[in-house]
Amino acid sequence: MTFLKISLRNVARNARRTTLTVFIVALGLATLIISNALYDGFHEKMVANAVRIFMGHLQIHARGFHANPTVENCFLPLREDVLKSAPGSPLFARRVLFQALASTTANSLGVMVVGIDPEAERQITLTARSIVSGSYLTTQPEDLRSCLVGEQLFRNLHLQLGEKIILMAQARDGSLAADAFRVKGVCRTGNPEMDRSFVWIPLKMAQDFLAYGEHISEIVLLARNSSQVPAIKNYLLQHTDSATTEVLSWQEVAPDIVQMIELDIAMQRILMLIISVIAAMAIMNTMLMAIQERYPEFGVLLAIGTTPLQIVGMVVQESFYIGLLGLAAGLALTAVASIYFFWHGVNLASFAAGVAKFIGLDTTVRPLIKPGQVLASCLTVLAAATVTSLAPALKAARMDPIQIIRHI
Amino acid sequence: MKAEGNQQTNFPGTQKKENDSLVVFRQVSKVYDGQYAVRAVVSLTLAVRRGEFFCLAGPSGSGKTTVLNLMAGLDRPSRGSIFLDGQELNALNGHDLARLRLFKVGFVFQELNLLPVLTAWENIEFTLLLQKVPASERRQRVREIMEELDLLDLANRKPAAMSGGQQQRVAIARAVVGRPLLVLADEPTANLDSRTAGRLIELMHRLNQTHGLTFVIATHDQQVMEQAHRVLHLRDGQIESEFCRS
Repeated sequence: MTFLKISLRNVARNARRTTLTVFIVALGLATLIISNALYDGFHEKMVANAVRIFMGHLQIHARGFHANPTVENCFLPLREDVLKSAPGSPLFARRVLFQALASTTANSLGVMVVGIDPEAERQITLTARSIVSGSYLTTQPEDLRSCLVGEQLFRNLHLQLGEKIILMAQARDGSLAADAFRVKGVCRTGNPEMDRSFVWIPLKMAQDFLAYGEHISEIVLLARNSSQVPAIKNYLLQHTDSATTEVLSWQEVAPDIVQMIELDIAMQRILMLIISVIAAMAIMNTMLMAIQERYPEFGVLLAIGTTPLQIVGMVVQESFYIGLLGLAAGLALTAVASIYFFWHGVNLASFAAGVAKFIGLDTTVRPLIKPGQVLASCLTVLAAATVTSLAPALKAARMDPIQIIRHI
Repeated sequence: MKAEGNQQTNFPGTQKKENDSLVVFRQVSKVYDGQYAVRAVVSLTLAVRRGEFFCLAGPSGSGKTTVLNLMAGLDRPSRGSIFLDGQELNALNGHDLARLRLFKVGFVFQELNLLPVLTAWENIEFTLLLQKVPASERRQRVREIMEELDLLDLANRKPAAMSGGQQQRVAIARAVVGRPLLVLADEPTANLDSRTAGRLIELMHRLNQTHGLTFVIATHDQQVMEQAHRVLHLRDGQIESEFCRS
């Protein structure tokens, strides 16, 4: 209790120095938490965008399709009741995917054609919402020969709404398929690759085009909660023949996103280390100055029977309290900054062109505060501050009282 | 003095036998090594009796403070043996020496004796807290010593709000509240005016008389020497002369 009292009073003793140290710790902690929260917000948005723009949480293909997406790799879809019974009743849509040559009177370009069930697709992806001119596909018979075109492709082919494009591709039976589709809408997904090369046509037309019959290229599933993905995948693996079908989670479909997040997490850890070192150095510097200033006190304490261990405890306690004050101030600063960033967001487009490729058209990122992350940051900074104070504490404890007393 | 009690040896610098002695130096030398070795104490043999008011006098650099530090176990001799209350200090490790200082030795330095963040009461209580004395007894003993030394008015003051004399009185209270066998004071009156110094000496003398506390005081102050039972004059780490009042 005595040492607690002495430590607390020493913290208050040089208010200006303590305030400055607390401010450095607070600023470091707030920077750490906010930057982590922005990273997490960015990751969440990136995953959500990747999932909602096209990929879904899970995909079912004919085995080998993901590695080799040819028209021969198709399969008969699972029964709807099987899909609806999956954990959490995920949303799902069937697709046919193939590469084709799109021609207009002005130009010819290679494209990726996606055959979609318009209503099912509308629930899963953002395609319907990405229409910037014209309108979305319907299941009406008059829309069967309509298509949607990516915005950049629309420009590259010098198209007009209502104009026809000719799609040519090799069908499943080896024959050359060709058909004309009227452009009904233009999509701006924010993904440059999709906007440059994607054409969406009705699923039935795609199946007829490739002579697929009832076959499809993939089923895309969207979990109502991303935490359900592993359970849904297990369920699907149990209800499909692994010899002929593959069930892939979004992490397997887009490992580059996972790697990017892992890289960011590594960067976050490096940042955490740097900030912890800065906070620790600030506290160590303060404690070294304080010890230098209180040289005679430690001499007297040692002379009257205080043990070196008690001296170490006293100095470490002081650092701990400065760290705690820094934590409190840092959390307050974090709260203010979080409110600001949550309200205004950070527009990443102003820092990096092409960021829309990763997070979609809305390039504004908001912090995602995770309690576990905040706790880890607090503990790291506090531990760094406390552990670093061991050096000045040991210096104080190893002082030679004789030398000090000589100077008194 | 159990270990020493049976030896019944007379030592120079003492008028009584060693079994009355609280502190015994036997052929103690202290050399500070460095670029130039400094012989601070040279083959010093002395004994301080229990209840004695003992002065170490001598010019600066004569070895007074070194002798005090050796007595307290703050420093170790280069040669010879030192006994405090029958315990040979050389045989004790750092932790044991800290405990010995805590329970058997009280210190009064020239200045900067007190912890600036604690009040007078807390500074005095600090020794008892280190000794783990129960709270109620602690309060009682601090109050008693503060009453005795007329310090109660200063109980809530921090050192910065006290005069030099007041600080030294509080330092004496802290030194004696733990009921040590020996109080070591290094130039306790050096920074005080003669009137305040006189009151402080009177106070230490009174504690010596009423409580039988042994005081060893390193000083230049003639007033202190006049109150002492014995004054040992040191020069170049050796006994130059001894004056015995009783």
